[in-house]
Amino acid sequence: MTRLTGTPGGVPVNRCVTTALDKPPDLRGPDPASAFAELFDAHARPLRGYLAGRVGESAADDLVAETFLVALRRRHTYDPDRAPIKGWLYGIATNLVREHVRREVRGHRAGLRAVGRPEPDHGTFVADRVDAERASKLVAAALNDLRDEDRDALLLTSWAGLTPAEVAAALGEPASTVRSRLHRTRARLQALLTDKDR
Amino acid sequence: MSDLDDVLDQINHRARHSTGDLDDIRARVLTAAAEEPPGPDRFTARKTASRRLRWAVPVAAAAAAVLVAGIALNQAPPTTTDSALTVATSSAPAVQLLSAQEVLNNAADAIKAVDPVLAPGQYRFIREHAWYQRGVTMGVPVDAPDQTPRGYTWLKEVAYEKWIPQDQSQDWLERRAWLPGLKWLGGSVPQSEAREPEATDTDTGERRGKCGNFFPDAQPAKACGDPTDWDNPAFYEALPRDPQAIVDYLRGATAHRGSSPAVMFHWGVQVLRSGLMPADLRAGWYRALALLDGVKVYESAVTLDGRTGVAIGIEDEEERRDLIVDPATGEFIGERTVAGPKPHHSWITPGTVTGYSAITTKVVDAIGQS
Repeated sequence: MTRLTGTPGGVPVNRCVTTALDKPPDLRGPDPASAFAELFDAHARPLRGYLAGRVGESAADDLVAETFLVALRRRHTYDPDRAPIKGWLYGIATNLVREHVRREVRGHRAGLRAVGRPEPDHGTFVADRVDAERASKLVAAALNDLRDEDRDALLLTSWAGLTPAEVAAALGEPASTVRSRLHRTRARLQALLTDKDR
Repeated sequence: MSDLDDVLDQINHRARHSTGDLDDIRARVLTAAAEEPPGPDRFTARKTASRRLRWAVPVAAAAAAVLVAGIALNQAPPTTTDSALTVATSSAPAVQLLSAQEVLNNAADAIKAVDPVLAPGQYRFIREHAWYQRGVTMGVPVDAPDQTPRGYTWLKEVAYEKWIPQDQSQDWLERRAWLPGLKWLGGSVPQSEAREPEATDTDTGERRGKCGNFFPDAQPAKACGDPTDWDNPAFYEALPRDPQAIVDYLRGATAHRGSSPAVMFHWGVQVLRSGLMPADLRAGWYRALALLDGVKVYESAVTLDGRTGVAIGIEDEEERRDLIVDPATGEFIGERTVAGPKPHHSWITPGTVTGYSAITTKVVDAIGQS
């Protein structure tokens, strides 16, 4: 089992270390094209990986584009002294994920009304590996049952490699709330795995 | 790296690690960036769905690409007491003598209290008596004739108590308790069919930790005297006192939510809830909130835990956050949330108080003493 987990695109990143990627370009400066080229090159690939995990590959590309376009429109509000760039960017992406899901739900309602198609009986989160299929299925099902804030905090740390401080910036919550949320959520899922092995 | 991280990594692994071409997206973003005129932010002026208050908003769908059945929604922050709940559906004051600006400025003027200086060995004690929402939102089978999401919402009574030592590097204590109170807010199923909420492992119990580090396994570790942590007194020392500078702070702090007045007000109330704001900052804080567009008195007398104040808020489509303040003393009594014209859930009546908390603080001589 690989130890370099949680980082999309196969690039290992130590989640507790501030990397050069965290030093943001000057988004509010006179040259947004260069700044956004730098921002895109530093973050688009892992962001796409994260979003593909959340909404599927086909929707992820649209959300990556939308995340950067929203960031572009909001660049004057970004203050590097207040929030890490990654937290800011993933905060925008998280909002878009939620809006996307709402649209999906509405789309299902509109498109499938009175159509006798069966409801899919699987969650969105699916396991890919056979060797740990049982544990993954268990956790995947539990992810679907989490409340949004818990799921966002967990997956932003686990899949996107954000620190609790960056998650706090992304979700607009105090860091202490995020820590408590992560502790509770991880304990709950870990307990499922422990029970499974009994 | 734990077992759990390994298991999480296996979920949607292929999608997350695919190496699709990003060139088209990059070109699209950079074309837009090249066309972007330097100048003020256009986005915040737009009315978009993303201006919603995320932290107060339970989104009625799972983060999933397809409709997922059985989504548990244990909603976050606080909620209400009997008196606040009963006035729920008529939040317009019968008599409104003062504007919200006057109430807030009077409250600021009235703050005469000098914050007690803690002696060595003493503790700052903060008690939050709250009603939190707990509930369930269920997915809808795609072939169901009625596609309205189903679910139900309870209000659960809780008490959170915290002791912060004069020497913050010593042990802090936090006690969380579920109190007996449980109220039915509504649902698409009869109350008799709705499962009552159950406490999770962080809903109850006692935790100790130096510098407020109640969850020592969380990384990075909580830093002592962290000026960015509003559960820490150092946070308040670093804030400006001038009302306009506080407005600027609120705008910056909520930039990722669009910095609308309702969002800034919500954030301002959220910080007050910590119970740690010193008196000199609180006066400026009230004056800053009074400067926000749309701030309004919604109820002239709301009683939380025996203390009565004026409820002030800014209208919002789904949910409004009210600050409850005593204009005669400037005391921050607590806060509540009230469902807007289009509540999050179809089973919640507009105007219903969907939660509240009463905050009290005092100085005590020993940890655990109230």
